Amino acid sequence: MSSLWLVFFFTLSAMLLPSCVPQQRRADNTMYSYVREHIHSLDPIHSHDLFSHQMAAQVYEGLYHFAYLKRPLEVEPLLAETLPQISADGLTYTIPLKKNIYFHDHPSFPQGKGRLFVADDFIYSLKRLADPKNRSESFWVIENKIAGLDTWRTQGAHYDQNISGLIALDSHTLQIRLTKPNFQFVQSLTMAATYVVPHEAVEYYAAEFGTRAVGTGAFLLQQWLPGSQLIFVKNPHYTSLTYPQEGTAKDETLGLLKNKGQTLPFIDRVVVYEIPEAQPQYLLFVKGEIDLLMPQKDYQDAFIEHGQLREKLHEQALLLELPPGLDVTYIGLNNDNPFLKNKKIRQAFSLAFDRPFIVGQYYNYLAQPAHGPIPPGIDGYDSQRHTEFSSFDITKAKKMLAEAGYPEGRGLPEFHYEIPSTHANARQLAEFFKQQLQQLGVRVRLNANTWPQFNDKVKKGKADIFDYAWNADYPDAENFFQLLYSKNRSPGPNAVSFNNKKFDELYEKALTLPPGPVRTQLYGTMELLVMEECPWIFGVHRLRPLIKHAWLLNHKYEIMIPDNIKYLRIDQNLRASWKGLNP
Amino acid sequence: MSGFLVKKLLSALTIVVGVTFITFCLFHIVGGDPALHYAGKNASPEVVQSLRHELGLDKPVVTQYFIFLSQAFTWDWGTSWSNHRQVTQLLNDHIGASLTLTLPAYTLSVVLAVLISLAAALRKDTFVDRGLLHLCFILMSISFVVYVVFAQKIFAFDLNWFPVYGWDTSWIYRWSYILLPCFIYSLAHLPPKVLLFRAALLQELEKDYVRTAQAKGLSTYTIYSIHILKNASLPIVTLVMSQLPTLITGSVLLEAYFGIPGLGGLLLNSIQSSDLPVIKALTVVGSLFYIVVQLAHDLIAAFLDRRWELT
Repeated sequence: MSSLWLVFFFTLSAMLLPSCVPQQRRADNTMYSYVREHIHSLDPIHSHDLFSHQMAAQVYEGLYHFAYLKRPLEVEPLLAETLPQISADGLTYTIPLKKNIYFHDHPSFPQGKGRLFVADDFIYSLKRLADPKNRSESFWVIENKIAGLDTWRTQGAHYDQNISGLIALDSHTLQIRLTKPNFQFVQSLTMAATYVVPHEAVEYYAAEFGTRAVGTGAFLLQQWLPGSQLIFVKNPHYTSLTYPQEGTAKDETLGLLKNKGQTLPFIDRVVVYEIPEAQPQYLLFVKGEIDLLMPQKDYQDAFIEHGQLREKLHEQALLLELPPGLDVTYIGLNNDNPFLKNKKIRQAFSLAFDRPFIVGQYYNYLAQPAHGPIPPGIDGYDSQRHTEFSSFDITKAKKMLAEAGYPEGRGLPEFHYEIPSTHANARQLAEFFKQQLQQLGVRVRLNANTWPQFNDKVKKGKADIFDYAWNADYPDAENFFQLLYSKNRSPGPNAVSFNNKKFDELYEKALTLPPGPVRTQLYGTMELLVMEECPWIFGVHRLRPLIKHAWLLNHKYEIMIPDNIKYLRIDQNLRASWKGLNP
Repeated sequence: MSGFLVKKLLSALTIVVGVTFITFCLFHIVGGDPALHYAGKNASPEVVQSLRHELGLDKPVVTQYFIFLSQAFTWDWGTSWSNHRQVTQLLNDHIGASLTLTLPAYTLSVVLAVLISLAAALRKDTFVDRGLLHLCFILMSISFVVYVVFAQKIFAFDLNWFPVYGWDTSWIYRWSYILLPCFIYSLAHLPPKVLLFRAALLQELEKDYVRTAQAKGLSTYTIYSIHILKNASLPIVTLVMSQLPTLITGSVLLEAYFGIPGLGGLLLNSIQSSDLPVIKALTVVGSLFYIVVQLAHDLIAAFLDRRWELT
């Protein structure tokens, strides 16, 4: 019997022994991070969600990106040599490209050596994006914008055919001709959909290209276990950028400019876990096994109190960043509904919505009330811009409803409020909104939907009232205003089918204006008009709390800068000593 | 025997057709319009329509169903709408991780359940038996998510016995990541099995042949291990095999909490993103596995009990 116990003991030891090993592998120049959703694809034309974009941005690069330290956000060249030279009519963009950029070494290239990046690579990448066979979720980024591209798409998308608006003047000079002036176009060229891929690698991997990655970026993809983790290693030949020379005054104080001008990247290896659940994210961070954490709602209290890092956590060498989320949450009111078409009813609903309460109760003070669509951090935002419908005032709301012809809600039908059943926060907010409207005598019925059902109802204009949020695709107020442009009505992005002639005129005028005081003022006028009309009940602008260990250096989070890992450094001594104190 | 096989084959065909039909109908009722989802948030109606064409969603519904059926028989599921990979490749990549978790965990839970239920039956109506029964009821009343959350916090985080999260392609390291989820799975699935196995054993205990064996002076060990266990094995095998098809889809919760890249997570993602090709493939794989297990069950039952007819 005793020999049986011995066998059992040794078997168990053999099984448990390896569990120690992964933790011993942490004493190197490796960054450990995570994403809170599974990655769908690393193919830039399919990296349409935030996290896939972040991962693709480590390997691939576009012509432009946002400067790492400058605020407000500023576009700067990445694969391009300079910002585009734009013709007087605003239609022709001439873009010189950097001449010393090579793709990663890969078997798809002759002798496995990465070849020089040329203008035709960008043209090929844009053709892939437009090719209907590729079913990209991001074609809208360039749809109807480049001369000849949409025709090329509808006429069979033959790669050997030229496109009049996409020309390589020489190996390192691009010329793009737009269909109409578009001052957001350069910002579109920062998005993942326009990242440059080599045709050799696309052909080499065919359908599996999305699980591999061959680009010009600061990191090479070493391994991806879909559903579990990604591992990147440093690109030793990276030359596209060096560490920025300039930042804000605060960056100097925070030590973010210590490495200016140095070669990138600093980190040798990056491990990114795919962790959809909040508990393992939290536990790994507290154990020091991931370097940063964006705590989900249930765990925010453990770190943050009234927008500040809890006092005791400073001793544990933790730091807090609270960047704006560049978003707006809102309750959409379908303007096609015969009752919600009535402006006074919409205004009454807006007055019945207690935003400051929502900020404290549902967002742990990690948000600020939204009075209009433009979020802080974007040109056109003005914290002082208010209308009488921005505040919480039940008495006035009742008065407005009576003026609309429905005193105490009499004569109004029961409204259907659509929510996705998987979002606990959306359910709680909907319950709160229902209670608020009950004070006006308005009846609301909550309908829980699967996510596809919810999306379907919203996109097809079948939802009377619904909870939604919009994250900026690029930092321009136009990206928010397009959600209210009548020509974008359902199934386009204007899901509430808002239709206001004056707003449309202002929107069309804003599209023709370059960034500057005139456009900023126009954005202000547009926002005031929307705040008056209340097509949405504006919710909040969220902050993105991020807690990091002090050994993670040079970190400055911004949602629009997905390629930030190349700027980061790890203080290995600090991490090792912390690990010694917190085994 | 050949009649049995023909009958089983026809039944399998009916099941596959039924499952494909129900899956197809359900998807069209609650699945939303995938073209709207996949065209991107700012897509124009023209792009949505073009995508609908690319996905084959503009074809008549009956045609779409027959395409589905033909895919089931040719085993060509096309590419996933969500991540654009070949569906068969996706299944190959994820099925291993699911089975690495569920097969050993399930085997462990069956072995433990047999041993515990034997111990309980041997000590029927004693303190041990009643204690085990109560413990089983308590454990069964606890939600699975509670097992997962507490076990991860206590054993991986507080005691540091296991890694909190992760996976490895190397089998040597993979075991370290699998052990805790395996134990959780086994423990959570143990109590109902113990109750059922105990009931089956006690039922046998009442039969005449047990009294005869006792009168002949056979030891309790021999009576239980040879006679009772053998005769009680049919309901045990039935229960064990009825749960086997669930193993293939893994465990959504365990995969999400421990980073196991199995089919459970893939199924959940495909439902959330209206990825019909993956949903179709997974439901057909599930039903085929069910058919194979049923066939195996009938053969094993016939072997264990000669009164069982293969009709």
